[in-house]
Amino acid sequence: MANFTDIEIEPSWQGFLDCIERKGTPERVYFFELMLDPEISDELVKMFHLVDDLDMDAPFFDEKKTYRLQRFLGYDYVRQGVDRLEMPFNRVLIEDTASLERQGGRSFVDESRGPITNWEEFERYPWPDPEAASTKSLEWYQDNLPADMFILGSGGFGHFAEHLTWLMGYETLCYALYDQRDLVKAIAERILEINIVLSRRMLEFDRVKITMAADDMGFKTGTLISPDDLRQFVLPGHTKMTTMAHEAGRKFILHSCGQLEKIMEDLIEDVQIDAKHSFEDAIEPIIEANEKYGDRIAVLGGIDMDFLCRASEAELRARIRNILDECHPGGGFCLGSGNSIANYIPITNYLTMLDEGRRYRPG
Amino acid sequence: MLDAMRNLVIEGKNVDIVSSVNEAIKAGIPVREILQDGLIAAMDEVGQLFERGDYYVPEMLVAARAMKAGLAVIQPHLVENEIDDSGVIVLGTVEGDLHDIGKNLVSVMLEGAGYKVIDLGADVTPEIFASVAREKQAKVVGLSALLTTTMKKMGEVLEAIEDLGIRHQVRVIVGGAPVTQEFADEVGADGYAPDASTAVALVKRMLQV
Repeated sequence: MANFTDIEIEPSWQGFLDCIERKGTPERVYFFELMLDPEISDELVKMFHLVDDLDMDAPFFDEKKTYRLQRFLGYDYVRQGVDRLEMPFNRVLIEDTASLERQGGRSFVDESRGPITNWEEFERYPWPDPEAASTKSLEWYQDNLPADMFILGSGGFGHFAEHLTWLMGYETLCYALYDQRDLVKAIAERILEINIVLSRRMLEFDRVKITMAADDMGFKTGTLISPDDLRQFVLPGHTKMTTMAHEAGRKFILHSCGQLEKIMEDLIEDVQIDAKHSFEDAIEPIIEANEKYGDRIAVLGGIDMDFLCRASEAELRARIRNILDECHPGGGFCLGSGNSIANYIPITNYLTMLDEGRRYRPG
Repeated sequence: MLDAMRNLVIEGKNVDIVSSVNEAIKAGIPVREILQDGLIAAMDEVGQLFERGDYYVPEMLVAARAMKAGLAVIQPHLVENEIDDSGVIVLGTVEGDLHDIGKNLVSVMLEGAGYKVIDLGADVTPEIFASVAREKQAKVVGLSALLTTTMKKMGEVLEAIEDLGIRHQVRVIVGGAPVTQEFADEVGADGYAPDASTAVALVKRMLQV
Protein backbone atom coordinates (compact mmCIF):
# COMPACT_ATOMS: atom_id res chain seq x y z
CA MET A 1 0.00 0.00 0.00
CA ALA A 2 1.25 3.49 -0.83
CA ASN A 3 2.18 5.56 2.18
CA PHE A 4 -0.64 8.00 2.62
CA THR A 5 1.53 10.36 4.61
CA ASP A 6 3.35 11.13 1.33
CA ILE A 7 0.65 13.67 0.64
CA GLU A 8 0.11 16.19 3.37
CA ILE A 9 -3.23 17.73 4.18
CA GLU A 10 -3.66 21.06 5.86
CA PRO A 11 -6.83 21.04 7.93
CA SER A 12 -9.29 23.81 7.15
CA TRP A 13 -12.49 24.23 9.07
CA GLN A 14 -13.55 26.91 6.61
CA GLY A 15 -12.88 24.60 3.69
CA PHE A 16 -14.92 21.88 5.36
CA LEU A 17 -17.83 24.27 5.90
CA ASP A 18 -17.62 25.47 2.31
CA CYS A 19 -17.74 21.85 1.20
CA ILE A 20 -20.82 21.13 3.34
CA GLU A 21 -22.45 24.28 1.98
CA ARG A 22 -21.76 23.13 -1.62
CA LYS A 23 -19.93 26.31 -2.52
CA GLY A 24 -18.23 24.79 -5.54
CA THR A 25 -15.78 21.97 -6.16
CA PRO A 26 -13.31 21.81 -3.27
CA GLU A 27 -9.62 21.83 -4.10
CA ARG A 28 -9.16 18.62 -2.18
CA VAL A 29 -11.25 15.83 -0.76
CA TYR A 30 -12.65 16.35 2.73
CA PHE A 31 -13.12 13.40 5.06
CA PHE A 32 -15.82 12.47 7.50
CA GLU A 33 -16.51 9.65 9.96
CA LEU A 34 -19.07 9.18 12.69
CA MET A 35 -16.28 7.76 14.83
CA LEU A 36 -13.30 5.45 15.02
CA ASP A 37 -13.59 2.55 17.44
CA PRO A 38 -11.09 2.99 20.29
CA GLU A 39 -9.24 -0.17 19.24
CA ILE A 40 -8.61 1.39 15.81
CA SER A 41 -7.58 4.73 17.30
CA ASP A 42 -5.17 3.08 19.72
CA GLU A 43 -3.64 0.95 17.00
CA LEU A 44 -3.11 3.94 14.70
CA VAL A 45 -1.66 6.07 17.47
CA LYS A 46 0.79 3.28 18.25
CA MET A 47 1.56 2.53 14.59
CA PHE A 48 2.44 6.14 13.78
CA HIS A 49 3.93 7.11 17.17
CA LEU A 50 1.54 10.00 17.54
CA VAL A 51 1.69 10.44 21.29
CA ASP A 52 5.09 9.05 22.16
CA ASP A 53 6.08 12.43 23.59
CA LEU A 54 3.00 12.78 25.78
CA ASP A 55 2.50 11.76 29.37
CA MET A 56 -0.50 9.44 29.45
CA ASP A 57 -1.31 10.49 32.99
CA ALA A 58 -1.20 14.22 32.28
CA PRO A 59 -4.50 16.13 32.19
CA PHE A 60 -6.36 16.06 28.87
CA PHE A 61 -4.23 13.30 27.41
CA ASP A 62 -7.29 11.89 25.61
CA GLU A 63 -8.11 15.24 24.03
CA LYS A 64 -4.52 15.72 22.89
CA LYS A 65 -4.40 12.19 21.51
CA THR A 66 -7.71 12.67 19.68
CA TYR A 67 -6.83 15.88 17.92
CA ARG A 68 -3.37 14.65 16.94
CA LEU A 69 -4.85 11.49 15.46
CA GLN A 70 -7.69 13.31 13.68
CA ARG A 71 -5.26 15.84 12.24
CA PHE A 72 -2.80 13.14 11.20
CA LEU A 73 -5.52 11.22 9.38
CA GLY A 74 -6.67 14.33 7.54
CA TYR A 75 -9.82 15.30 9.41
CA ASP A 76 -10.62 18.94 10.01
CA TYR A 77 -12.43 18.44 13.27
CA VAL A 78 -12.65 16.66 16.57
CA ARG A 79 -16.00 15.36 17.73
CA GLN A 80 -16.90 16.50 21.21
CA GLY A 81 -20.08 17.17 23.11
CA VAL A 82 -21.02 17.99 26.65
CA ASP A 83 -19.35 15.31 28.75
CA ARG A 84 -21.41 12.14 28.61
CA LEU A 85 -24.58 11.98 30.67
CA GLU A 86 -25.24 8.89 32.73
CA MET A 87 -28.29 7.18 31.28
CA PRO A 88 -28.57 3.51 32.26
CA PHE A 89 -29.83 1.13 29.56
CA ASN A 90 -30.27 -2.62 29.65
CA ARG A 91 -27.28 -4.13 27.91
CA VAL A 92 -26.20 -7.53 26.76
CA LEU A 93 -22.57 -8.55 26.42
CA ILE A 94 -20.90 -10.94 24.03
CA GLU A 95 -17.36 -11.90 23.15
CA ASP A 96 -15.97 -9.64 20.43
CA THR A 97 -15.14 -11.39 17.17
CA ALA A 98 -13.29 -8.49 15.54
CA SER A 99 -9.64 -8.73 14.56
CA LEU A 100 -8.80 -5.92 16.98
CA GLU A 101 -10.78 -7.55 19.75
CA ARG A 102 -12.44 -5.39 22.39
CA GLN A 103 -11.26 -6.58 25.79
CA GLY A 104 -14.16 -7.70 27.96
CA GLY A 105 -16.42 -8.19 24.95
CA ARG A 106 -18.75 -5.90 22.99
CA SER A 107 -22.03 -4.83 24.52
CA PHE A 108 -25.31 -4.02 22.81
CA VAL A 109 -28.49 -2.43 24.07
CA ASP A 110 -31.14 -5.05 24.83
CA GLU A 111 -33.53 -4.96 21.88
CA SER A 112 -36.42 -6.44 23.74
CA ARG A 113 -36.88 -4.65 27.04
CA GLY A 114 -35.41 -1.39 28.31
CA PRO A 115 -35.47 0.19 31.75
CA ILE A 116 -38.75 2.04 31.07
CA THR A 117 -41.75 -0.06 30.12
CA ASN A 118 -44.43 1.62 32.23
CA TRP A 119 -45.20 4.88 34.08
CA GLU A 120 -43.77 3.68 37.37
CA GLU A 121 -40.43 2.98 35.72
CA PHE A 122 -40.60 6.32 33.93
CA GLU A 123 -40.96 8.14 37.26
CA ARG A 124 -38.25 6.04 38.89
CA TYR A 125 -35.72 6.44 36.05
CA PRO A 126 -32.61 8.42 37.06
CA TRP A 127 -33.01 11.15 34.45
CA PRO A 128 -29.72 13.05 34.13
CA ASP A 129 -29.42 16.78 34.65
CA PRO A 130 -27.77 18.19 31.51
CA GLU A 131 -27.14 21.54 33.22
CA ALA A 132 -24.91 19.78 35.74
CA ALA A 133 -22.85 17.92 33.16
CA SER A 134 -19.24 18.95 32.70
CA THR A 135 -17.96 20.71 29.58
CA LYS A 136 -14.27 20.29 30.45
CA SER A 137 -13.36 18.67 27.14
CA LEU A 138 -15.16 21.34 25.14
CA GLU A 139 -13.41 24.03 27.16
CA TRP A 140 -10.03 22.43 26.52
CA TYR A 141 -10.62 22.15 22.79
CA GLN A 142 -11.99 25.70 22.67
CA ASP A 143 -8.65 26.96 24.03
CA ASN A 144 -6.17 24.44 22.61
CA LEU A 145 -7.40 22.94 19.36
CA PRO A 146 -5.22 24.17 16.46
CA ALA A 147 -6.82 27.17 14.82
CA ASP A 148 -7.38 25.43 11.50
CA MET A 149 -9.60 22.73 13.06
CA PHE A 150 -13.13 22.92 14.47
CA ILE A 151 -15.22 21.14 17.05
CA LEU A 152 -18.03 18.94 15.75
CA GLY A 153 -20.56 19.30 18.56
CA SER A 154 -21.75 15.78 19.06
CA GLY A 155 -21.61 12.81 21.38
CA GLY A 156 -24.48 11.63 23.55
CA PHE A 157 -26.56 14.12 21.59
CA GLY A 158 -29.67 14.03 19.42
CA HIS A 159 -30.52 10.36 19.93
CA PHE A 160 -34.25 11.01 19.70
CA ALA A 161 -35.30 7.73 18.09
CA GLU A 162 -32.46 5.77 19.62
CA HIS A 163 -33.20 6.87 23.16
CA LEU A 164 -36.83 5.88 22.71
CA THR A 165 -35.73 2.42 21.64
CA TRP A 166 -32.93 2.14 24.18
CA LEU A 167 -35.04 3.33 27.10
CA MET A 168 -38.04 1.16 26.26
CA GLY A 169 -36.45 -1.66 24.26
CA TYR A 170 -37.39 -1.75 20.59
CA GLU A 171 -40.00 -4.47 20.95
CA THR A 172 -41.57 -2.76 23.94
CA LEU A 173 -41.63 0.52 22.01
CA CYS A 174 -43.39 -1.17 19.09
CA TYR A 175 -46.19 -2.40 21.37
CA ALA A 176 -46.25 0.86 23.32
CA LEU A 177 -47.01 2.79 20.14
CA TYR A 178 -50.33 0.95 20.29
CA ASP A 179 -50.84 0.38 24.00
CA GLN A 180 -49.17 3.34 25.76
CA ARG A 181 -48.76 6.26 23.37
CA ASP A 182 -48.93 8.72 26.26
CA LEU A 183 -45.87 7.08 27.78
CA VAL A 184 -43.99 7.21 24.48
CA LYS A 185 -44.91 10.90 24.22
CA ALA A 186 -43.71 11.60 27.76
CA ILE A 187 -40.36 9.92 27.13
CA ALA A 188 -39.93 11.77 23.82
CA GLU A 189 -40.64 15.09 25.55
CA ARG A 190 -38.12 14.34 28.30
CA ILE A 191 -35.47 13.44 25.73
CA LEU A 192 -36.14 16.69 23.90
CA GLU A 193 -35.83 18.76 27.10
CA ILE A 194 -32.42 17.21 27.78
CA ASN A 195 -31.20 17.81 24.24
CA ILE A 196 -32.26 21.44 24.18
CA VAL A 197 -29.91 22.03 27.09
CA LEU A 198 -27.12 20.00 25.48
CA SER A 199 -27.47 21.91 22.22
CA ARG A 200 -27.49 25.29 23.95
CA ARG A 201 -24.42 24.42 25.99
CA MET A 202 -22.46 23.16 22.96
CA LEU A 203 -23.36 26.21 20.91
CA GLU A 204 -21.94 28.48 23.62
CA PHE A 205 -18.51 27.44 22.28
CA ASP A 206 -17.80 29.37 19.11
CA ARG A 207 -15.43 26.72 17.79
CA VAL A 208 -18.37 24.35 17.56
CA LYS A 209 -19.06 25.13 13.92
CA ILE A 210 -21.42 22.22 13.37
CA THR A 211 -23.61 20.14 15.64
CA MET A 212 -24.43 16.57 14.73
CA ALA A 213 -27.16 14.28 15.95
CA ALA A 214 -26.55 10.55 15.73
CA ASP A 215 -29.89 8.82 15.53
CA ASP A 216 -30.47 5.58 13.66
CA MET A 217 -34.06 5.64 12.43
CA GLY A 218 -34.13 2.86 9.90
CA PHE A 219 -33.10 -0.63 8.98
CA LYS A 220 -32.41 -2.29 5.65
CA THR A 221 -35.76 -1.78 3.96
CA GLY A 222 -37.62 0.86 5.96
CA THR A 223 -37.90 3.04 9.00
CA LEU A 224 -37.94 1.37 12.42
CA ILE A 225 -41.31 2.92 13.23
CA SER A 226 -43.76 4.45 10.80
CA PRO A 227 -43.02 7.84 9.23
CA ASP A 228 -46.12 9.23 10.97
CA ASP A 229 -44.83 8.09 14.35
CA LEU A 230 -41.39 9.50 13.56
CA ARG A 231 -43.06 12.80 12.66
CA GLN A 232 -44.85 12.84 16.00
CA PHE A 233 -42.17 11.60 18.39
CA VAL A 234 -38.75 12.03 16.76
CA LEU A 235 -38.50 14.62 14.00
CA PRO A 236 -39.64 17.55 16.16
CA GLY A 237 -36.50 16.97 18.22
CA HIS A 238 -34.26 17.13 15.16
CA THR A 239 -36.10 20.22 13.93
CA LYS A 240 -35.44 21.94 17.24
CA MET A 241 -31.74 21.00 17.15
CA THR A 242 -31.36 22.24 13.57
CA THR A 243 -33.16 25.47 14.37
CA MET A 244 -30.94 26.10 17.38
CA ALA A 245 -27.81 25.47 15.28
CA HIS A 246 -28.98 27.73 12.47
CA GLU A 247 -30.03 30.52 14.82
CA ALA A 248 -26.49 30.42 16.21
CA GLY A 249 -25.05 30.59 12.68
CA ARG A 250 -23.90 26.96 12.68
CA LYS A 251 -24.62 23.92 10.54
CA PHE A 252 -26.36 20.68 11.42
CA ILE A 253 -25.45 17.15 10.32
CA LEU A 254 -27.69 14.16 10.85
CA HIS A 255 -26.11 10.73 11.11
CA SER A 256 -28.81 8.13 10.71
CA CYS A 257 -28.55 4.57 9.47
CA GLY A 258 -31.18 2.68 7.56
CA GLN A 259 -33.60 3.18 4.72
CA LEU A 260 -35.07 6.65 5.31
CA GLU A 261 -36.50 7.39 1.89
CA LYS A 262 -40.00 7.95 3.28
CA ILE A 263 -38.81 10.75 5.55
CA MET A 264 -36.03 12.29 3.49
CA GLU A 265 -38.26 15.12 2.29
CA ASP A 266 -39.18 15.82 5.92
CA LEU A 267 -35.51 15.87 6.88
CA ILE A 268 -34.52 18.19 4.06
CA GLU A 269 -37.51 20.53 3.83
CA ASP A 270 -38.94 20.59 7.37
CA VAL A 271 -36.09 19.63 9.70
CA GLN A 272 -33.70 21.47 7.34
CA ILE A 273 -30.62 19.39 7.92
CA ASP A 274 -27.50 20.62 6.13
CA ALA A 275 -25.93 17.21 5.63
CA LYS A 276 -26.78 13.56 6.03
CA HIS A 277 -24.32 10.84 6.96
CA SER A 278 -24.52 7.06 6.63
CA PHE A 279 -25.14 5.48 3.27
CA GLU A 280 -24.71 1.77 2.61
CA ASP A 281 -24.86 0.01 -0.75
CA ALA A 282 -27.57 -2.45 0.31
CA ILE A 283 -29.85 0.49 1.20
CA GLU A 284 -28.93 3.41 -1.01
CA PRO A 285 -25.53 3.73 -2.69
CA ILE A 286 -23.92 7.11 -2.14
CA ILE A 287 -23.90 7.99 -5.85
CA GLU A 288 -27.67 7.54 -6.03
CA ALA A 289 -28.13 9.53 -2.83
CA ASN A 290 -25.98 12.32 -4.26
CA GLU A 291 -28.04 12.39 -7.45
CA LYS A 292 -31.30 12.54 -5.49
CA TYR A 293 -30.44 14.91 -2.69
CA GLY A 294 -27.07 16.45 -3.55
CA ASP A 295 -28.55 19.69 -4.85
CA ARG A 296 -30.15 20.42 -1.46
CA ILE A 297 -27.93 18.85 1.21
CA ALA A 298 -24.42 17.45 1.55
CA VAL A 299 -24.10 13.67 1.56
CA LEU A 300 -21.29 12.21 3.64
CA GLY A 301 -19.47 8.89 3.77
CA GLY A 302 -20.84 6.08 1.70
CA ILE A 303 -17.97 3.60 1.31
CA ASP A 304 -19.94 0.49 2.15
CA MET A 305 -18.76 -1.11 5.39
CA ASP A 306 -18.86 -4.66 4.09
CA PHE A 307 -16.98 -3.60 0.95
CA LEU A 308 -14.45 -1.74 3.06
CA CYS A 309 -13.90 -4.93 5.05
CA ARG A 310 -13.59 -7.34 2.19
CA ALA A 311 -12.42 -5.52 -0.94
CA SER A 312 -8.92 -5.78 -2.34
CA GLU A 313 -6.82 -2.61 -2.51
CA ALA A 314 -7.38 -2.30 -6.26
CA GLU A 315 -11.15 -2.74 -5.91
CA LEU A 316 -11.28 -0.25 -3.10
CA ARG A 317 -9.30 2.41 -4.96
CA ALA A 318 -11.36 1.96 -8.11
CA ARG A 319 -14.65 2.27 -6.19
CA ILE A 320 -13.46 5.37 -4.33
CA ARG A 321 -12.29 7.08 -7.55
CA ASN A 322 -15.64 6.35 -9.13
CA ILE A 323 -17.52 7.76 -6.15
CA LEU A 324 -15.31 10.85 -6.09
CA ASP A 325 -15.76 11.39 -9.82
CA GLU A 326 -19.51 11.42 -9.28
CA CYS A 327 -19.84 13.15 -5.92
CA HIS A 328 -16.89 15.53 -5.52
CA PRO A 329 -17.74 18.08 -8.24
CA GLY A 330 -19.64 21.04 -6.84
CA GLY A 331 -18.92 20.12 -3.23
CA GLY A 332 -21.35 18.63 -0.76
CA PHE A 333 -19.52 15.34 -0.35
CA CYS A 334 -17.00 14.10 2.21
CA LEU A 335 -15.27 10.78 1.86
CA GLY A 336 -15.72 8.18 4.57
CA SER A 337 -17.14 4.83 5.48
CA GLY A 338 -20.84 4.14 5.36
CA ASN A 339 -20.95 4.28 9.13
CA SER A 340 -17.81 4.27 11.27
CA ILE A 341 -14.38 2.72 11.44
CA ALA A 342 -15.38 -0.27 13.53
CA ASN A 343 -12.73 -2.51 15.01
CA TYR A 344 -13.43 -5.23 12.45
CA ILE A 345 -12.41 -3.05 9.50
CA PRO A 346 -8.86 -3.88 8.39
CA ILE A 347 -6.69 -0.89 9.17
CA THR A 348 -4.88 -1.19 5.84
CA ASN A 349 -8.19 -0.83 4.00
CA TYR A 350 -9.11 2.20 6.06
CA LEU A 351 -5.76 3.82 5.31
CA THR A 352 -6.14 2.94 1.64
CA MET A 353 -9.45 4.79 1.61
CA LEU A 354 -7.83 7.88 3.11
CA ASP A 355 -4.85 7.59 0.78
CA GLU A 356 -7.02 7.42 -2.33
CA GLY A 357 -8.91 10.47 -1.10
CA ARG A 358 -5.67 12.37 -0.58
CA ARG A 359 -4.40 11.49 -4.04
CA TYR A 360 -7.61 12.41 -5.81
CA ARG A 361 -7.55 15.56 -7.89
CA PRO A 362 -10.69 16.76 -9.58
CA GLY A 363 -10.45 16.31 -13.33
CA MET B 1 -67.63 -12.84 9.96
CA LEU B 2 -64.21 -13.89 8.61
CA ASP B 3 -63.83 -10.47 7.01
CA ALA B 4 -64.29 -8.82 10.37
CA MET B 5 -61.86 -11.28 11.94
CA ARG B 6 -59.21 -10.51 9.33
CA ASN B 7 -59.62 -6.80 9.95
CA LEU B 8 -59.17 -7.27 13.69
CA VAL B 9 -55.84 -9.03 13.10
CA ILE B 10 -54.72 -6.45 10.56
CA GLU B 11 -55.55 -3.67 13.01
CA GLY B 12 -53.81 -5.51 15.86
CA LYS B 13 -56.88 -5.85 18.09
CA ASN B 14 -55.61 -8.60 20.35
CA VAL B 15 -58.55 -8.42 22.78
CA ASP B 16 -61.40 -8.16 20.29
CA ILE B 17 -60.01 -11.00 18.19
CA VAL B 18 -60.61 -13.47 21.03
CA SER B 19 -64.34 -12.84 21.12
CA SER B 20 -64.49 -12.76 17.35
CA VAL B 21 -62.89 -16.20 17.05
CA ASN B 22 -65.12 -17.58 19.83
CA GLU B 23 -68.18 -16.28 18.00
CA ALA B 24 -67.00 -17.88 14.79
CA ILE B 25 -66.54 -21.24 16.51
CA LYS B 26 -70.00 -20.91 18.09
CA ALA B 27 -71.44 -20.10 14.69
CA GLY B 28 -70.10 -23.42 13.42
CA ILE B 29 -67.39 -22.12 11.11
CA PRO B 30 -64.80 -24.91 10.77
CA VAL B 31 -61.59 -24.16 12.63
CA ARG B 32 -59.58 -24.92 9.50
CA GLU B 33 -61.47 -22.10 7.79
CA ILE B 34 -60.98 -19.77 10.74
CA LEU B 35 -57.27 -20.51 10.65
CA GLN B 36 -56.70 -20.39 6.90
CA ASP B 37 -59.23 -17.81 5.72
CA GLY B 38 -59.26 -15.73 8.87
CA LEU B 39 -56.00 -15.62 10.79
CA ILE B 40 -53.44 -16.76 8.21
CA ALA B 41 -55.08 -14.77 5.43
CA ALA B 42 -54.94 -11.68 7.64
CA MET B 43 -51.23 -12.11 8.27
CA ASP B 44 -50.70 -12.63 4.58
CA GLU B 45 -52.29 -9.25 4.00
CA VAL B 46 -50.17 -7.74 6.77
CA GLY B 47 -47.10 -9.02 4.90
CA GLN B 48 -48.32 -7.37 1.72
CA LEU B 49 -48.97 -4.12 3.57
CA PHE B 50 -45.39 -4.26 4.88
CA GLU B 51 -43.99 -4.94 1.41
CA ARG B 52 -45.93 -2.00 0.00
CA GLY B 53 -44.50 0.21 2.72
CA ASP B 54 -47.88 0.86 4.34
CA TYR B 55 -47.01 -1.14 7.46
CA TYR B 56 -43.91 -1.00 9.61
CA VAL B 57 -42.43 -3.31 12.22
CA PRO B 58 -44.72 -2.13 15.07
CA GLU B 59 -47.81 -2.74 12.95
CA MET B 60 -46.53 -6.20 12.06
CA LEU B 61 -45.79 -7.03 15.68
CA VAL B 62 -49.21 -6.01 16.99
CA ALA B 63 -50.92 -7.85 14.14
CA ALA B 64 -48.89 -10.96 14.97
CA ARG B 65 -49.85 -10.56 18.62
CA ALA B 66 -53.52 -10.46 17.65
CA MET B 67 -53.06 -13.46 15.38
CA LYS B 68 -51.49 -15.42 18.21
CA ALA B 69 -54.35 -14.47 20.54
CA GLY B 70 -56.80 -15.81 17.99
CA LEU B 71 -54.70 -18.90 17.41
CA ALA B 72 -54.71 -19.67 21.13
CA VAL B 73 -58.51 -19.85 21.03
CA ILE B 74 -58.61 -22.39 18.23
CA GLN B 75 -55.50 -24.33 19.27
CA PRO B 76 -57.39 -27.07 21.17
CA HIS B 77 -59.76 -27.53 18.25
CA LEU B 78 -56.84 -27.71 15.82
CA VAL B 79 -55.41 -30.70 17.66
CA GLU B 80 -58.81 -32.42 17.54
CA ASN B 81 -59.01 -31.86 13.83
CA GLU B 82 -55.43 -33.00 13.27
CA ILE B 83 -54.54 -30.18 10.98
CA ASP B 84 -51.00 -30.65 9.72
CA ASP B 85 -48.28 -28.09 10.08
CA SER B 86 -47.12 -26.65 6.82
CA GLY B 87 -43.55 -27.50 7.78
CA VAL B 88 -40.97 -27.04 10.47
CA ILE B 89 -38.67 -24.04 10.22
CA VAL B 90 -35.63 -23.69 12.46
CA LEU B 91 -34.49 -20.11 13.02
CA GLY B 92 -31.68 -18.46 14.92
CA THR B 93 -29.06 -15.73 15.05
CA VAL B 94 -25.60 -17.11 14.40
CA GLU B 95 -22.87 -17.63 16.97
CA GLY B 96 -21.24 -14.47 18.29
CA ASP B 97 -24.25 -12.28 17.51
CA LEU B 98 -26.94 -11.25 19.99
CA HIS B 99 -29.20 -9.29 17.65
CA ASP B 100 -32.52 -10.96 17.19
CA ILE B 101 -35.19 -8.39 16.34
CA GLY B 102 -35.08 -9.25 12.63
CA LYS B 103 -35.08 -12.96 13.34
CA ASN B 104 -37.97 -12.55 15.81
CA LEU B 105 -39.99 -10.78 13.13
CA VAL B 106 -39.32 -13.56 10.65
CA SER B 107 -40.42 -15.99 13.35
CA VAL B 108 -43.76 -14.31 14.07
CA MET B 109 -44.51 -13.82 10.38
CA LEU B 110 -43.77 -17.47 9.60
CA GLU B 111 -45.97 -18.57 12.48
CA GLY B 112 -48.59 -16.24 11.14
CA ALA B 113 -48.31 -18.01 7.82
CA GLY B 114 -49.01 -21.33 9.52
CA TYR B 115 -45.54 -22.79 9.87
CA LYS B 116 -44.21 -24.45 12.98
CA VAL B 117 -41.20 -22.37 14.00
CA ILE B 118 -38.45 -23.51 16.33
CA ASP B 119 -36.65 -20.36 17.37
CA LEU B 120 -33.24 -21.19 18.77
CA GLY B 121 -32.62 -17.61 19.87
CA ALA B 122 -29.35 -15.73 19.45
CA ASP B 123 -25.67 -16.77 19.60
CA VAL B 124 -26.42 -20.25 18.22
CA THR B 125 -23.54 -22.52 17.26
CA PRO B 126 -23.42 -24.22 13.84
CA GLU B 127 -23.64 -27.61 15.54
CA ILE B 128 -26.88 -26.69 17.34
CA PHE B 129 -28.47 -25.46 14.11
CA ALA B 130 -27.55 -28.69 12.37
CA SER B 131 -28.54 -31.08 15.13
CA VAL B 132 -31.92 -29.42 15.75
CA ALA B 133 -32.61 -29.37 12.02
CA ARG B 134 -31.96 -33.10 11.89
CA GLU B 135 -33.88 -33.92 15.06
CA LYS B 136 -36.96 -31.88 14.10
CA GLN B 137 -36.77 -32.80 10.41
CA ALA B 138 -36.79 -29.13 9.50
CA LYS B 139 -37.60 -28.21 5.95
CA VAL B 140 -35.94 -24.80 6.24
CA VAL B 141 -33.19 -23.37 8.43
CA GLY B 142 -33.12 -19.57 8.66
CA LEU B 143 -29.93 -17.79 9.73
CA SER B 144 -29.68 -14.19 10.86
CA ALA B 145 -26.65 -11.96 11.51
CA LEU B 146 -26.30 -8.24 12.07
CA LEU B 147 -22.55 -7.94 11.96
CA THR B 148 -20.03 -8.30 9.17
CA THR B 149 -17.86 -10.23 11.60
CA THR B 150 -20.54 -12.77 12.48
CA MET B 151 -22.16 -13.37 9.11
CA LYS B 152 -19.25 -15.56 8.09
CA LYS B 153 -20.63 -18.05 10.64
CA MET B 154 -23.40 -18.72 8.15
CA GLY B 155 -20.96 -20.67 6.01
CA GLU B 156 -20.04 -22.76 9.03
CA VAL B 157 -23.70 -23.60 9.66
CA LEU B 158 -23.99 -24.85 6.09
CA GLU B 159 -20.88 -26.97 6.62
CA ALA B 160 -22.32 -28.42 9.86
CA ILE B 161 -25.54 -29.31 8.05
CA GLU B 162 -23.50 -30.91 5.28
CA ASP B 163 -21.45 -32.83 7.84
CA LEU B 164 -24.62 -34.38 9.30
CA GLY B 165 -25.61 -35.55 5.85
CA ILE B 166 -28.93 -33.68 5.78
CA ARG B 167 -28.10 -30.88 3.35
CA HIS B 168 -30.32 -32.40 0.67
CA GLN B 169 -33.31 -32.33 3.04
CA VAL B 170 -32.94 -28.78 4.29
CA ARG B 171 -33.20 -25.42 2.56
CA VAL B 172 -31.03 -22.76 4.17
CA ILE B 173 -32.04 -19.10 3.98
CA VAL B 174 -30.06 -16.12 5.25
CA GLY B 175 -30.72 -12.49 6.15
CA GLY B 176 -29.57 -9.58 8.27
CA ALA B 177 -28.16 -6.09 7.84
CA PRO B 178 -24.85 -6.90 6.11
CA VAL B 179 -26.15 -9.93 4.21
CA THR B 180 -26.77 -9.69 0.47
CA GLN B 181 -27.83 -12.06 -2.29
CA GLU B 182 -24.22 -12.10 -3.41
CA PHE B 183 -23.10 -13.25 0.03
CA ALA B 184 -25.87 -15.86 0.14
CA ASP B 185 -24.61 -17.26 -3.16
CA GLU B 186 -21.05 -17.16 -1.92
CA VAL B 187 -21.77 -19.34 1.13
CA GLY B 188 -24.06 -21.64 -0.80
CA ALA B 189 -27.36 -20.69 0.85
CA ASP B 190 -30.59 -21.51 -0.97
CA GLY B 191 -32.15 -18.13 -0.48
CA TYR B 192 -31.81 -14.61 0.86
CA ALA B 193 -34.42 -12.20 2.16
CA PRO B 194 -33.87 -8.55 3.07
CA ASP B 195 -36.80 -8.45 5.52
CA ALA B 196 -39.38 -10.56 7.35
CA SER B 197 -42.13 -10.29 4.81
CA THR B 198 -39.85 -11.30 1.95
CA ALA B 199 -38.59 -14.21 4.07
CA VAL B 200 -42.13 -15.58 4.35
CA ALA B 201 -42.67 -15.27 0.61
CA LEU B 202 -39.33 -17.00 0.04
CA VAL B 203 -40.22 -19.91 2.32
CA LYS B 204 -43.63 -20.25 0.68
CA ARG B 205 -42.02 -20.44 -2.73
CA MET B 206 -39.47 -22.96 -1.53
CA LEU B 207 -42.08 -25.19 0.06
CA GLN B 208 -44.68 -24.42 -2.59
CA VAL B 209 -47.49 -23.74 -0.14
